[in-house]
Amino acid sequence: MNREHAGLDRLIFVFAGWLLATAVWAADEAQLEKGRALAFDRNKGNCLSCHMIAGGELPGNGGPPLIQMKARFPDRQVLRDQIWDSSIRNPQTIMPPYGRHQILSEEELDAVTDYIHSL
Amino acid sequence: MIGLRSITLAVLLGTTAVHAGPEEDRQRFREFYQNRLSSIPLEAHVDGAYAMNAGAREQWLEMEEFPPYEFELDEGQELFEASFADGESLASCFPEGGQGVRQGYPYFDEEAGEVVTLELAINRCREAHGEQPLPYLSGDLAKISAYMAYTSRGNVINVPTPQSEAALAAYESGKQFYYSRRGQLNFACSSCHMQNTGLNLRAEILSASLGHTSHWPVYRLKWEELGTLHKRFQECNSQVGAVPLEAQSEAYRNLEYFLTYMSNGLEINGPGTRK
Amino acid sequence: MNGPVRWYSAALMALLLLAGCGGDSTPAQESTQQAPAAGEPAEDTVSTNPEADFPAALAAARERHQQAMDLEFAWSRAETLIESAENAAAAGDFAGALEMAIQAEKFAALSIEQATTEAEAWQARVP
Repeated sequence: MNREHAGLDRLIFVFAGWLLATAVWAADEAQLEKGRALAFDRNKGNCLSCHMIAGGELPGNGGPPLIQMKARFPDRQVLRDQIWDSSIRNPQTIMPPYGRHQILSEEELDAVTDYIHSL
Repeated sequence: MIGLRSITLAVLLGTTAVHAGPEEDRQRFREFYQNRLSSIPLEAHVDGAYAMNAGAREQWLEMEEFPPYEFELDEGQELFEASFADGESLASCFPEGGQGVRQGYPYFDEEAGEVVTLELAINRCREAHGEQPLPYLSGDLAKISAYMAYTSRGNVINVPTPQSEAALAAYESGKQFYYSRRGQLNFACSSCHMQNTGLNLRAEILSASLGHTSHWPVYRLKWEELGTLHKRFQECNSQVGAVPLEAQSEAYRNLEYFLTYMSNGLEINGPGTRK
Repeated sequence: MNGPVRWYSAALMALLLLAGCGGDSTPAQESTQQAPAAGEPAEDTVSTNPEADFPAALAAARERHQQAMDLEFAWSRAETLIESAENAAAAGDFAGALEMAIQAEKFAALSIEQATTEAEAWQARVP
């Protein structure tokens, strides 16, 4: 392997890395946007009826504001389980069981979880 | 079906002495709102969400000065006073000629073994005199009911305490309905109107169930007409993703019986206007 | 295989792998609570003859929804799905119709489960 080749190697490596980062970032953004749309949709997540969310108009206050979610839910799965059926942890919760009652599909639930976890 | 189940339940509760009895239920119900919404006098809950927010109340009071139900109320009086084909009128079927009697409905009819609501009594009177029953959700029946409520304004709700086994079973069935989660969204009446009462659902304030039955029929701005309490029951059930029951079904009459009994002692202020 | 090509292939593979997951950074395998409830039909296999299978699926959905209606705990989603399934079948879309009928029965089953749970659970909410 000569010096020229090594330089090209590095260049291609950097370029591939950049491509990769961009692709992952774009995919994450798309997922978050999908989750946000579902969270705000009155016929889907409708999270705003009870939770304050940055950028959401006329939020309700029946549930806690959705802020600092990574601090409150270090484990994403715990947050997902909570949205899936929050009555498991609190039998008297009034939050609808989005997963158990199939208000959201499992795929939609993942998108909403990613979005809420990003807040 | 429901009746049988409720009777079984009532018997079960009776034997295990968990059954507190309607009057104790009512006291606890009042205490709940006293504690939860301590700044609001219990009597004020007849105004629903407008008892809870000064700004919304002001707008509502302005609206009530020229109430949108005014014409329907006048028509209700005409319909109430109109003669049936046999020469009688609605007045003949009610105590006091039907003036100022709203506060005694619904009641448990021991002979028929069922809850009789004001709307049911109006239609039964019509049928007894050879007239067709009227549809229960809105229109002429709501107008007549509105007029009868209007003549009862200020009277104190006074549903007789259920005493007989059958009356208690109907009451218990209404109570069970009120506290049971329903629909895909999994809400009980109590989820919104007790657990979250006073809080906001988006921009709407969740009213207390104390006083819930005092002001019906209601002119809802989104209905653009007077509608009955059972129309609202249907709407609530639909909103949580449940298939609504028939207006004046046994289950809804029992629910009205329970809910109204909880509001005993509060004033009739119907008809009302709501957003 | 010389250096650049090797590097490039490796990077590309990594890219494809990661991008593949990136679109769905949390694969459905994480959803641990998907097991159908007891008594719920497990009809997730794709039908080879939806037109033949549809009538039975529709009848099953209707029957279960009627049970929920009798309990006064029925869900509107089950009702609308049964209607949509009927319409799809009438329009000749039996694959879609079958899928909706199966889904309707699942919702009806969930509503019956709710009725069963609530027969006891309501008492905990009385003040």
